[in-house]
Amino acid sequence: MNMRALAAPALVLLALVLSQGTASAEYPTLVYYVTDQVGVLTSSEEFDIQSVCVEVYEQTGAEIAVLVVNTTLPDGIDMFAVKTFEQNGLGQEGEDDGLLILVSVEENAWRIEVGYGLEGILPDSKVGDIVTANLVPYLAVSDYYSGLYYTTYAVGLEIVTNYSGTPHTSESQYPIPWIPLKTWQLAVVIGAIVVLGVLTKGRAFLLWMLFSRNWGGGGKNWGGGRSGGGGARGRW
Amino acid sequence: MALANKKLYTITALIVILAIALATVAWLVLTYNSLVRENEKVDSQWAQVQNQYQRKIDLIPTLVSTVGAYQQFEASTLTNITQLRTQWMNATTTEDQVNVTNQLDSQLATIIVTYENYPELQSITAVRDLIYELTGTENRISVERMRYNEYVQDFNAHIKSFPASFVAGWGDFEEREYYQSPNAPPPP
Repeated sequence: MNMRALAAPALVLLALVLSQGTASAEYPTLVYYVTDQVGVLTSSEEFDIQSVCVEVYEQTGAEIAVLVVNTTLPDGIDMFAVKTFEQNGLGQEGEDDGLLILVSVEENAWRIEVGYGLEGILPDSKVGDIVTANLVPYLAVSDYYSGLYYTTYAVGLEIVTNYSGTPHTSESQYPIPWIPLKTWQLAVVIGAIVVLGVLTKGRAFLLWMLFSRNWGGGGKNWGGGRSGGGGARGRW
Repeated sequence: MALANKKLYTITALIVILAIALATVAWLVLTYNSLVRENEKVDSQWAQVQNQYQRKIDLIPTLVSTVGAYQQFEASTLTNITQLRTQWMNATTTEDQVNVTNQLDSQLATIIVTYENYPELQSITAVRDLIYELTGTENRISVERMRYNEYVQDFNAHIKSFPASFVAGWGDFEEREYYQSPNAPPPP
């Protein structure tokens, strides 16, 4: 048996073992602004809430995420919120301007986790007041959409009004907004891809497929912000 | 010919020994620096825990004046809380501070229980806001404390692990203490 023939599978195996070891699958990965693990929101409702989050992000860079789960046990909603926030890194790094709206359906519990950078404009009592007015009355009648929409809107308004942050406008100078390349750069890249494809008789695309699996259909890249338990929690 | 070969061997051996020595020194420096960094992380995280304690203490005057207006809250609890605040401000050692805050926590818990038992209190904005601030501060403390313990765990594991334990022994790094809250189970 050739040692080289063994090396490749061994490396793959090693990589798998290592990635298993470091992956913390305990807390949900937030792919986009709204993550509904229970199915209490329709996709158009999710879209409505997301558009508020996008607006806030574009104007200030602050990242609001909404998460609906069945249960937060065994951690309890406070720890679950902090850990989820930390693992996903909501808000810009250094600015820590993220905010997580978490609803646990089976426990009838909610929690708003505020990033360090937003604690000044969203003190616990203000968050509590917003939720008392906008979330709790609707959750009590199982109207998750209204509750989450109004709450997202209310905190979003608070952020946009009182926090400047770093705007991330989508009216960018790039022809395709989510690819940061100017028109001529884009042409060069496309040209290179075509030439590479022709030269390798299509084999280059296999490589591309291998890499593109990691992108998983273009989710949200959270900024890497942190929180320290600020915010409010309660039940309905 | 044999002589030339021998010379070559000696030079190679010297280079190898030198490389190993250099690598060892580099490793020592890197390990030492990372231990210093981790140790400082533990210190600064402890400062973070204390900040949150201070925040809780700062909340007490408002608490007493707001909540004192409602007869549902026991006057003796409020007196105790005020006294504990004074004790905290006079406390000089970390141990004393931890001791006082533990007592304070049980008194504050009474306030929250009272609040939860009387729905009419929950409709008073001033009281409700205060309870949100109080529970929020409580939660901040437990988050910063958890992070403190995580950093301590990292550091302690590092100085005990082989071969970093040599550097730790030579650099006088000692195990850091976990913060244990009175109602939490002891670390495994």
